[in-house]
Amino acid sequence: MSKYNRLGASFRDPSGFLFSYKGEIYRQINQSYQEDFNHLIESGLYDNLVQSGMLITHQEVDLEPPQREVAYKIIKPQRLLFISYPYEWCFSQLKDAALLTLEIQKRALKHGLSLKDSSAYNIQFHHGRPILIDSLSFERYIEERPWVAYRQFCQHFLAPLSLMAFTDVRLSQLLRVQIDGIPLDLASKLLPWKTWFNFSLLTNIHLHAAAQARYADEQINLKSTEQKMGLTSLLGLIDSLETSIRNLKWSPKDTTWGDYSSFHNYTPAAIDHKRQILNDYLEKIHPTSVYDLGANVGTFSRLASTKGIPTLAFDFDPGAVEINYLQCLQEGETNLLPLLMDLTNPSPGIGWQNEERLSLMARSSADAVLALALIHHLLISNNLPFEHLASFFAQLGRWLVIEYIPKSDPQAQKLLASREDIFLNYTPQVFESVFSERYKIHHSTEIHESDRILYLMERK
Amino acid sequence: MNALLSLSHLFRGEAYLDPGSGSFILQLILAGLLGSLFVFRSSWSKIKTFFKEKFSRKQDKDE
Repeated sequence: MSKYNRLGASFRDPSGFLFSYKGEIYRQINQSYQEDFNHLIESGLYDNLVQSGMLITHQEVDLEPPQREVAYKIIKPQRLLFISYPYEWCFSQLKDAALLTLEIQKRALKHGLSLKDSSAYNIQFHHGRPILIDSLSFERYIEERPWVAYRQFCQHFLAPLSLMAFTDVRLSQLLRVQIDGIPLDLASKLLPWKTWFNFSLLTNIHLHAAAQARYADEQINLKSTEQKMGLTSLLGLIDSLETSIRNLKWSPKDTTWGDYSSFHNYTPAAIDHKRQILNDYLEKIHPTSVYDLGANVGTFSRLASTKGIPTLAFDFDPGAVEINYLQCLQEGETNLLPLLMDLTNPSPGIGWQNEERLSLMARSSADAVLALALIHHLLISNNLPFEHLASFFAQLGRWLVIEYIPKSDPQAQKLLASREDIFLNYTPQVFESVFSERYKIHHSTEIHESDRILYLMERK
Repeated sequence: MNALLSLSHLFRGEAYLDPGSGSFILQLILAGLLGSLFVFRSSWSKIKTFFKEKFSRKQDKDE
């Protein structure tokens, strides 16, 4: 195993595991999973799902297995640009991931297979759409057996989505604490009383939580039983979950975050000029990937993504991420992935040894980072000195396009209105001198009809 | 309730996920209802499709 590096998220399932070797990701399939894996391929389900863009493709490779004694095959899954997690998704992203999981389960049952897990972490966004990335999630269907992954589906998808829809959209962040999804007794407590009159939520959340409490300590009798769950009932369960998920709605209009896509603080000439400068900078550096930090609804992210550059648009506002994602769907955009991220408290490493789900900083970095209309928020609202900002941006990517917003700017003044101005070093001279320690400043351009400056810098 | 809890025959060796006794039993309790609802919904949508097609064909002829 020494030349291989087994990945931290892949230890629970005895069917196989992920490992990296010479910078590439591989999956060992164990002998114990041989028949299920062969059935996935031979039944035609693999081709069916791959052709519909629902399952990651893989190639069988001739590589010495890390654990030869139990190995059946080594496969090399298609590479993904970025791994994101459910607590970084907006409402519709989590909903689409849930619906994909159920559609896959329906197709699997038609092919004599069933999903043996339904973890939200098995879904990733690839070219703008959700995709199942775990080819070992299937097992041959056992007649008359209930769905093994039902509890996990409710915890990973139904509970967070119903809490977001009925209680508060920010409750998606419970997933960051509860690594195996939101416990159903907790969801049941947090949901409003009216959900008891919703048949699907009554059964799948409230009664489900009650059944878990009632039967938690029951001894399992090993004798055979008359109790069965036929295929029609199982399809009925999947159908009821699907209807339930489809009926869950959340709209950013319901919130007080307000008017997303307008730029009150720029004149039309200023906004055009800002766009033009950013465009010129991107043409100069031709980045291979872009992180747009504080992207709002992705207006400027799209200057990169429409050039074919894979772009992540981070924002801490669930409403902005939702609008951005819905626009991606509407336009069929494949190079832009909006994600929910509070830059002052980015996703940490969680789970076993803090390695099951990686922190933002431990995941891949970008070629270019955009920090537009951002630094005044970090500096004034979060008391972050320029040194800390420069260090953070430098960790995230080689190139930096950063907008300097002077303290006199109305937006900065708004943030200072309710607090004492302790930011004596907030000047363009200090900004340039601090960032010059980590970056070579290639260009700086003043934005017309404003006091703002757009810089292009390269990490030293 | 002992009969309901006799579930071991429903597993092969590979099931690594704990389905939870409560989650399993709830499905078994609801199985009949879910199955009936599913059959009803599927039949209903077939009936609706049948009449929709018939109606639209008739309309085409009228036109």
